[in-house]
Amino acid sequence: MRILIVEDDRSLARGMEASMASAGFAMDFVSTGEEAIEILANEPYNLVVLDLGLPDMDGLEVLSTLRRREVQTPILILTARDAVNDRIEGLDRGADDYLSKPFHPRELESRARALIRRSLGSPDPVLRVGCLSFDRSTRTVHLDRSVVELRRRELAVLETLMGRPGKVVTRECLTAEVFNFTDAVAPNALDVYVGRLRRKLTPHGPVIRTVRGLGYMLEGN
Amino acid sequence: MTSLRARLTAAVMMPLVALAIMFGGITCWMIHRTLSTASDRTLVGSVTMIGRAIITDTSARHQLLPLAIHLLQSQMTPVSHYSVYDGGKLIAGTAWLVPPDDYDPAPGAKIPRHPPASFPLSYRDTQLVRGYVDARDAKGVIQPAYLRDAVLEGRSVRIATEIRTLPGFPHPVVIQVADFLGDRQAYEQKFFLRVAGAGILIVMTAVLLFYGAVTWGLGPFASLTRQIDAARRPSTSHVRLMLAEDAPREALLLATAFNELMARTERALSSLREFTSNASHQLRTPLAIVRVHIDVLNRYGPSSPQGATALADIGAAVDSLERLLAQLISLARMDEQGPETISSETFDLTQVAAGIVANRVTHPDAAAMDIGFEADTHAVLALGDQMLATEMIANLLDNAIRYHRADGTVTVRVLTREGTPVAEIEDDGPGIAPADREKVWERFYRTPGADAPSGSGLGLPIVRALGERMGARVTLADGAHGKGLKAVIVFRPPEPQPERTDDTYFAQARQMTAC
Repeated sequence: MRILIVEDDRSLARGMEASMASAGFAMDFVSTGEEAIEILANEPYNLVVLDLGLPDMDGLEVLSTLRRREVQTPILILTARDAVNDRIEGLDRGADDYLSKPFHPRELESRARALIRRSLGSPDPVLRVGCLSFDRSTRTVHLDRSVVELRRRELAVLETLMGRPGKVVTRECLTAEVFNFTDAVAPNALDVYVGRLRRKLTPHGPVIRTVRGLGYMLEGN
Repeated sequence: MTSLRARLTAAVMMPLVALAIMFGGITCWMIHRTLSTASDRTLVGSVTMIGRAIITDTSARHQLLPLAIHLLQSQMTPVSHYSVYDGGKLIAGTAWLVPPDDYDPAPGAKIPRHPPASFPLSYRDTQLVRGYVDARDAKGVIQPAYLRDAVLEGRSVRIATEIRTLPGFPHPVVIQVADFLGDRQAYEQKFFLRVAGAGILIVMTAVLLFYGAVTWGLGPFASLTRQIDAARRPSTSHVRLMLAEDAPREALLLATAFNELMARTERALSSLREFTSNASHQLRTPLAIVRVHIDVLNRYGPSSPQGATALADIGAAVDSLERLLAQLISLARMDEQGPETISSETFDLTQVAAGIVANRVTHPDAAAMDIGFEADTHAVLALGDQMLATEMIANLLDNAIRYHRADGTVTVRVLTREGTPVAEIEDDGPGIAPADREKVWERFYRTPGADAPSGSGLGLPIVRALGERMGARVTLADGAHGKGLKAVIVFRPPEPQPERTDDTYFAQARQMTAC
């Protein structure tokens, strides 16, 4: 799951990035509203964490612009001001949730997961395909009640595929959701992760099919 | 608690009531006088009339006397009690109306014992002969009609008495007519009551009229009171008193003063609110940084590269929190202290600035910087508080070091320009755009630009506040060759010290500045 942080304080952005990356999110970070608007026009993100106090323009303005341009991504606003009006206006202008500074990073993480779940249309934190279940809160995968040990990237690939079982997920889409800009991605990196996943899911788990020239598909029940 | 209206009404009504009582008293006294005189006249007139009827021939007397009595009794104030005595013998009338004590029944007695009753005449002067218009009627009168008070049958009476000789009667005949004083008083009381009633009516009308007038006159103040009362409800904000254009000057003055006070209070409140909101904003971000990085430390451990960055970031955040706290405290202290606590002394600016530079050269941030000190004379004297001046220069120098490249150049300069002492702090760093140079004096304003290290936006406002307290002006200008920034503090020059030869310090100082 890929998240964009829009925050002018580098130190805070660095911290959020590290903290969320360890929770399995692919993180990117920009420090101005203009950059945020530009990047969101082209890149698919699952969530935007938007600080309202930006140097170049008001965070609320960024919010309005994004929604006007029909960016559907869920947006969580961060505010350092305690004014209720800020939160009300933020939510009314199209934000999905808010957090006041100083916030607990675990709360940010949980809210991020909840927002992403809701936007994908499956509020249940546990994704199930056949006998395979993926708990998005604890980030653990079970196959017939036994735990499957998966690495961070493998989890990300599996989560994306399990979110759309029985449907083809294109390579581009998968790459965009799993890797951030700073990850050095080898051309076949995705195939490597998918290969490892297949190995770990056999023999009882659902099958990941390769659709040549398009992408991958997790076969449904 | 009495209302102003009630007070004013009472204050005016008290004297008015006193006046009304006095006027009523005078009126009653005059009524009493007039009625008494009128009754006395009637008595005297009645006596002379009976006397006139009696002196006729015996044959006519029997018809005339009842006729006279009848006429008298059909008057408006009827005469009901009369008597005619011949010596001790009652001839006609009421028996209890006896002759006076000094009545001398001797046939030869002719001496009048009392002056005749007289009434001042204001409009006509009829000559009376012993009480009679016709002198013939007065023939035989011994004692012309006079008035006396007596108590008969236990009641106070007013009696008119005439004594005369009559042919056919052995003794001088006493003719008397009497009035009960009680009757007179009862009659007078009727008038007194009317006067009292009229007085009460007038006073009440006056109260009503005056209350109305006061209400009208105090209308603007009543409106002010209502508005203030309405403003006391907790939810009310932006209270302003409104008055009509033609309201009295006093009320307008009051309303204007109140409105100005409210505006000042609102400004102070809103600036306080803004300050609190800004201060909390400034405190929240470093706190958020600390929290997030502690989480990073927990996840990755302190020995990982992420952990190392987190530790550095936490340190920086704590530093900025500490600086912010110190600045907030010094601002708050400045806001709460009055300017009277500032000492005004003469100090050596060169010495102050040199001390600060020497202190800052060793600062770790400034390790690679070229920090210089320039002074064109040995001593530059300035007037003000040395502590505040130190604080100002140190703040500006710290700013120059903090927002600068690690290998930049900063120069502190002390000079005298047109007789006034000046300190300049110049750097060749990023500078401040001319458009921002006014805004940077506002509390919590931070120049846009993500590359600058984040400050609290309080450093420059503190410098200006310090300067204002000791009469020093701070301005920002371009640095040398249009690069960087030059902060200029213009201090107050020391006042010329006339003939203070005992103070060797000043004498030395003057010599030093002269050369």
